[in-house]
Amino acid sequence: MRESQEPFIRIRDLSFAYGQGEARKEVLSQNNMELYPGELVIMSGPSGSGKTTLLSLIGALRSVQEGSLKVGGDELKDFDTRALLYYRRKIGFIFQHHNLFPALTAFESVRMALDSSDLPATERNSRTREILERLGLSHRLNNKPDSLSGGQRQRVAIGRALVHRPSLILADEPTAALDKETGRNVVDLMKELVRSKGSTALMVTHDSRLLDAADRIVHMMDGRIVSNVLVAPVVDAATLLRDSGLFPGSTPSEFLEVAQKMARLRYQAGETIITFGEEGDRFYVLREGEVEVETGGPTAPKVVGTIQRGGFFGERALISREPRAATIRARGPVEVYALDKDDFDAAIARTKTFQDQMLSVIFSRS
Amino acid sequence: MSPDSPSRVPTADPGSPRPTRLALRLVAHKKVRTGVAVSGIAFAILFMFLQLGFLGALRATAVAVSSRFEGDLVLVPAKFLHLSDSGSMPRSRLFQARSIPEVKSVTPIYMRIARWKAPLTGRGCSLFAIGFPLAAAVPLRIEGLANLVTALGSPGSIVVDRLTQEKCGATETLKTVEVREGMRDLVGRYTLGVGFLADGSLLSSDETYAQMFDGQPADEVNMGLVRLEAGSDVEAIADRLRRVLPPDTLVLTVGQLNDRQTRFWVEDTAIGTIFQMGAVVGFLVGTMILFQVLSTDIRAHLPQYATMKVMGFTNRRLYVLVLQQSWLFAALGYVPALLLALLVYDAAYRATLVPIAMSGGRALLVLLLSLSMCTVAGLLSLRRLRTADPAELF
Repeated sequence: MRESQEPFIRIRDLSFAYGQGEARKEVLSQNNMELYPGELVIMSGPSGSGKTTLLSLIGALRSVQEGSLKVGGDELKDFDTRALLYYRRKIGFIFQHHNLFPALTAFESVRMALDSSDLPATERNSRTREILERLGLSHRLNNKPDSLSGGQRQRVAIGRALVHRPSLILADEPTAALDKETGRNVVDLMKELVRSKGSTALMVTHDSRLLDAADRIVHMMDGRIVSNVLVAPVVDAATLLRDSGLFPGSTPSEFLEVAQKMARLRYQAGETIITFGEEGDRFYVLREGEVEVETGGPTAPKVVGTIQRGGFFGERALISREPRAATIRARGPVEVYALDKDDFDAAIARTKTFQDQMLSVIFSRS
Repeated sequence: MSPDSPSRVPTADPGSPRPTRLALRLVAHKKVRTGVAVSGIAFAILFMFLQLGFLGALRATAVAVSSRFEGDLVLVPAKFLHLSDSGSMPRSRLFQARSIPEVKSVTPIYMRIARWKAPLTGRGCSLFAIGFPLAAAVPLRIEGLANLVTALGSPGSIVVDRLTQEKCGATETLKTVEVREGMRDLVGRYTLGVGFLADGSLLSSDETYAQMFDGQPADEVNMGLVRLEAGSDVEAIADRLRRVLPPDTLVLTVGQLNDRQTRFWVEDTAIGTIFQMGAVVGFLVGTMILFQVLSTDIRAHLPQYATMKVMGFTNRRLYVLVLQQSWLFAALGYVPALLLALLVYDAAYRATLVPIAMSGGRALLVLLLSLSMCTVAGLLSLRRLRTADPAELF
């Protein structure tokens, strides 16, 4: 379900362990992931699942032990000290703790992040002022941390991480110390940077209120990425499944679970999606465009109807194990969500209710 | 945007954080801590000033008299240790020296510590007594001494150093004084100052000297002051004299005499070693005080330093930041220490008349020592800075 694009970060078979010998403890195991320019990825998972270690590896704060971690196509473990330094300067790190120098004002703390840039002083100052204003701290520019609230300190730290408009934002619970409105403001700011500059943001959070901001949600468990979901297409597919009225008893999570496994496929006008008489291998939900339904096989073809967005097809052959009873052909450019046979079977087998409903649908068509 | 590939590292340094301002802010932030630290460092620097001041006074003492000799060479006994313990040598060595044509004159000098009894208190003082023949040219380069020679011609007459310690009671109105259990006429005053050598000094004719030190053999002298004809090669004649004179006599230039004196006082005496050790102790104390301050501060700010590393500040920049803080502490400690040292020097001089005074050279030396001391402390505390691990921040 992804547009073809080169990822900024590409992780392959990445494993990491602390300690050696008998004390060795693997915290990441054979992980694969891509982070693309212009996307905000939210990472969730229980404590100890490896999120933080993965962040620190991507941020080059720890060295890659096993597997591959490529940045812009280059292997991170091949970076020399200078390249690592340059890479880190392109990252905006947001930690759970603000780590501000007590001696510096909010303005100075944020501007310090621009010390390594070649911007003129006036530009540094204006950028610093601008981001602090965005974070609602325009009246606290000259305050030191001891005269700021916990949320204000965290906002200063966020400003420090974002003021240099980083290519990559790595954030660990950035909104934990913030109220709802400020937290949303911070995420909007990150989103804006991601959209306008094509930055990539990877944010660890347990704040479910922020999930709607994510382009993708990665879930980790016991050192592994157990799900990696592009949010918008999955929500769209799940919504189409729900709106179809086919599964009135299903929960949102059941819809999402099925939707996550669906691939987004494109077809040109006249292209055949399924062919009469063939073995069924996928279930389809129409996302965009229109398809025609042709029965009778090659000897007596007859278009019996059309299907528009939200319609579905291909389920009968999967359920009955019989050959396809119709040919489905694109009338114009078409996009469908497709679910493989195995995933379809697994989804059906998950709940009796679900299976019954599917059988009910088939029964009603026959 | 296409994110910059880290492989496309610019050829020029992408920018260098300037930590000077931050160092200033960090030092100035905790005023009480900084005040305590600066006080400790200032004390250590003051201690160095005092020890080096006393060491300087010791050096001045060493050459206080010998640098005043009006001559080109000196003849001293082979067992010569220093001016107040020179030993004696046959007077005939002086005549032997005169066998060299370029030797214009050889003046016998007599030197010993004399017991002086303070007139009002009866308190004993040790004065460095120098006797010389009045017929010869004045052997010491002391302002106004030539005018006192006539007065010294009267037997039992002495002149006394104005820089004699107050406890000795050598007031301007004092006319007679007991020296070595005999009453002497005090006929004049001069200004010399002998520092640690004695409580003061007095000059007399060789005859009066012989009266005072009645055990002084007439055929022995403590030193011979040699004057050469104008334009003579001093070193060459010194060599010739060494060949002429037997091994019981040393031939030294005045410069060599000064060097021997300095070496004796500074290197051979315990007092010189104590002052040198004192300066070293001051250095070490200052180093440890600042090391503790910096180390504690770094430990308290490890997450902040780790964050700076994460932000792309190089280790070198962080090291400079810590060293800049240490230099600021050095500068802040140095200024009050210098002012205090001037006061203490003045008080010490007034109390003891020991020639202790601030010199530009010493002020610069202590400044360099202070910077070195703080640099060492800074370098030691860098070990703590290296423990700032960015990976621990997440």
